[in-house]
Amino acid sequence: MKRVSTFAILKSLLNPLPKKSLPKIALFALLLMATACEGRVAASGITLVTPLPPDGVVVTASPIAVAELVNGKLSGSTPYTLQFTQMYAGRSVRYGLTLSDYLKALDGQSVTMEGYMAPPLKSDLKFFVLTEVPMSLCPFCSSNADWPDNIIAVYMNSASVPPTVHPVKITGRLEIGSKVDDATGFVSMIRVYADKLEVLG
Amino acid sequence: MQLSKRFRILPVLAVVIAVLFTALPAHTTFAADAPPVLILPIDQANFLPGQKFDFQIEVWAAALPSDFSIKINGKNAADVLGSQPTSSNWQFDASKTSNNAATYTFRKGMTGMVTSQATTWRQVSIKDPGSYKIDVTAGGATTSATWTIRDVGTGKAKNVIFFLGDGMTDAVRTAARVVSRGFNAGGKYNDRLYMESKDMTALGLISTNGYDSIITDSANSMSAYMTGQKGTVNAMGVYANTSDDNNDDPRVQTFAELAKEQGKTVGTCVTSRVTDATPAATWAHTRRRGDEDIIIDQALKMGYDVILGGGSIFFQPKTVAGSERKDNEDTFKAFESAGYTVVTSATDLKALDTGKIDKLVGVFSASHMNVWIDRHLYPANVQKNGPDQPDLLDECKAAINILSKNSKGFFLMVEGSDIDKQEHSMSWERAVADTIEFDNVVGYAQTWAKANGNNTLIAVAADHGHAFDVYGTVDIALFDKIGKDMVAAQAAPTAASTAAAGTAAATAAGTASASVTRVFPPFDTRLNAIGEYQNASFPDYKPDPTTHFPASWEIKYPLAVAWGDHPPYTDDFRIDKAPLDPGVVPPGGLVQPNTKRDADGVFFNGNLPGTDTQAVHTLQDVPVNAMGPGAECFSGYLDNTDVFFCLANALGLDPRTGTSLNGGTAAPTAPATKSASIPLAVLALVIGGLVTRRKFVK
Repeated sequence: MKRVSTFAILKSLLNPLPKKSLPKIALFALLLMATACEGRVAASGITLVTPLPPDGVVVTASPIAVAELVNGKLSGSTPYTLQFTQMYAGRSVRYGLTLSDYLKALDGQSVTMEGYMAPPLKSDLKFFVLTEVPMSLCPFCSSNADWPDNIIAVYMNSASVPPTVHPVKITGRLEIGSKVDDATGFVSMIRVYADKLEVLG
Repeated sequence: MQLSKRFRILPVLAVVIAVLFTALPAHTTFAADAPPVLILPIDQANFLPGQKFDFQIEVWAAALPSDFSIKINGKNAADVLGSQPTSSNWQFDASKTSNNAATYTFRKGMTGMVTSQATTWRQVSIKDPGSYKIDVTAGGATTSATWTIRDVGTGKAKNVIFFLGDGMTDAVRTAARVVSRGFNAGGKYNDRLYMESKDMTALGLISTNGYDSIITDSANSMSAYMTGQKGTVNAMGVYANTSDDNNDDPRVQTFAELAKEQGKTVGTCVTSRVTDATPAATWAHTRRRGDEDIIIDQALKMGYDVILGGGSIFFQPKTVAGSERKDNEDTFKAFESAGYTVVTSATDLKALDTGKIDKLVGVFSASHMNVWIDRHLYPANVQKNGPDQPDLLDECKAAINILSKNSKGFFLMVEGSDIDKQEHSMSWERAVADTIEFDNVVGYAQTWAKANGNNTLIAVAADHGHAFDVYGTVDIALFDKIGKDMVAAQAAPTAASTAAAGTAAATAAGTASASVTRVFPPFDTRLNAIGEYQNASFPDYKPDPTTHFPASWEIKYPLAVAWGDHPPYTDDFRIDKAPLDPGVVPPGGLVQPNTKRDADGVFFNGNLPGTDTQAVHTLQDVPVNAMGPGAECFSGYLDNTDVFFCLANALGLDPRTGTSLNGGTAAPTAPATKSASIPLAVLALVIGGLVTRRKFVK
């Protein structure tokens, strides 16, 4: 039987949707792969965004984010805690997702984040996607592909890590900017080069 | 009298020659080492006189043979077309079918890299109706194609409104009629859909395939309606050549481009991304429908007047998270700089003074707009995509208000885009609700046309089939009760239920043949709640008499819907509260049901390849209705390419009298052809409607 590559399967997944560039397909592919993995912890559900103000108006950052930026400067010491809800200041049809001031200030800084590892779960991982919710509730399971505002790419600096379904906490240097991963073609806007990973719970 | 021995050979020769002629294919005579030749546009192509197209000959050889010639009706093509071609070459991988399918059948069996020598004329046209035979000689063999230049129509329509219900088969229309109009006591429908009203004097059936397969997609099917040319899956406004470049394929002028040359305004109002195949096919030229950033750039270049729908991800520079553009262009800004008004919310759309606007771009969501059911019944589903999306009627009212200000008339394309998308996702309620919404716009257009001169051709069609149909109704209460009993029986099996299970297993084993043991999944007894024939009582969706939408989709006896082609999926026969794909593909595996959707529903195994997570298009012909000047052209059986000529004939459109667009349709490598410049054209129009006549060299 002819061996069909995973990429080929996932590319065909998007039929009859218009074809997208391969890196974007890889992005969607990684997250879609997660949906059928058994044994994920079923969390309470996707938190749906409350109605936004009229288009073009950018929502100000949440109170937690403001507290971390005092007079435009980072307060406290490294590593800075970053939550998924603090990453984006707002979303509009015309301007898309806008990065929060807090996130922009963290570019190049040491941060710590909590989340879940998205499959594929190979035996050792040097790269994975960290998600806000366990991937059994993948946002891409809607037929409209929304940009994922609750994921981040994580590259392990040192030894690779065994995969886990438990929540994890990573610490490392944050980098903002569009980058294509050579090995997988994955396109990430925001990455953490992590040197520490703790399994929680 | 006996023939001399010499002449006895003649009858034998005659027989041999006759056998050879009948054995050869109709159009091609091959010599031993003649290279394959591809002629684009293909054999059997039809055009309007003066309709511009690119003419490209491919010769698959390391070099053009010395005897290479291209003739049209026996004369050199360059003389007939009045210009010299350009030459180019490329290499293509003959075993790769993704770019060009099995279209060019003499490519079958070829492997490895092939060099193609291309001879290309850009933006030529033929001005005299008639039959034109193209003969290409190469390496001692001649390959031929025949084109027909049709006569210009004599219609007197001023405007054309073309309604495209994507995937809107007759089965979908019928279900929409059940849900939105209901039945009276005599079993007759209370009313018909607007697209079925007595105003629509013509009814026909359209066959939808392209020239590469029996099953089409929305790109080449809409392209057939908009250019009069058959195409290949994923391509629009072009004939697909063998090069990997998606932008160099030979182009053919679209109906919207021709309408603009006649001074008409053109617009589209849809609920998909505005760069999706159906709206794109009204203006775009590309081998690849997925190049949506290039597609919207083409609309701007052409000066398409009104564009309304979704898809801001193809307008945002690539630095914006989620953008699908590959460059740093802010396309919204580019449209504004060109004089367009840009809006991105329903509030802003409704606040517009359409009397003061001539060019409008409205993009109301990041990707495809959400469907009527999610926008109105489950608004939490739409927030991330677009928190303030208009209805299709809001869009099209604005479009008609703006476009109809033009004294020379307009062309508007209205699409019920998401009917098809929800058929793919197998959410029938969403597909039918969008059909009702689409039909309401038909009703508005009919009223508008009758109140505004009665000189508008309105045509309502679909682009291709789907396998949706209704086979009864579901007794939801009974369905749930059987389900509860099933669960209870599994939890606490009684002697009877264990015996029943044993019998079922024994029966399964007993039906196995001596050599093969085949075990089938057990029958899901909840299916006994499906009412068929006399048990399929009329469902009462309680439609609103004005809006025609049901008060609720969750009724006691909803329609029982089946899908002729589908992935493995589960179904609880109720409306889904969020749009979800029926199947999912696990890593390295094959498709299985999406357990986030109807997790406890009845299981149906799939009948599609293991990589498909959604339903696919089907073969059936689709209906078309029409009213207004030129409507009669749509009666009877049509090939999809005939639709273009019906639209053009209704307007009496003669491309030879148009003023050519300012290079808006040229392919990137096109050499400039002689044409009247736009300022001259404007001046000519201003001085009492004089039209600049182009010189065509015969």
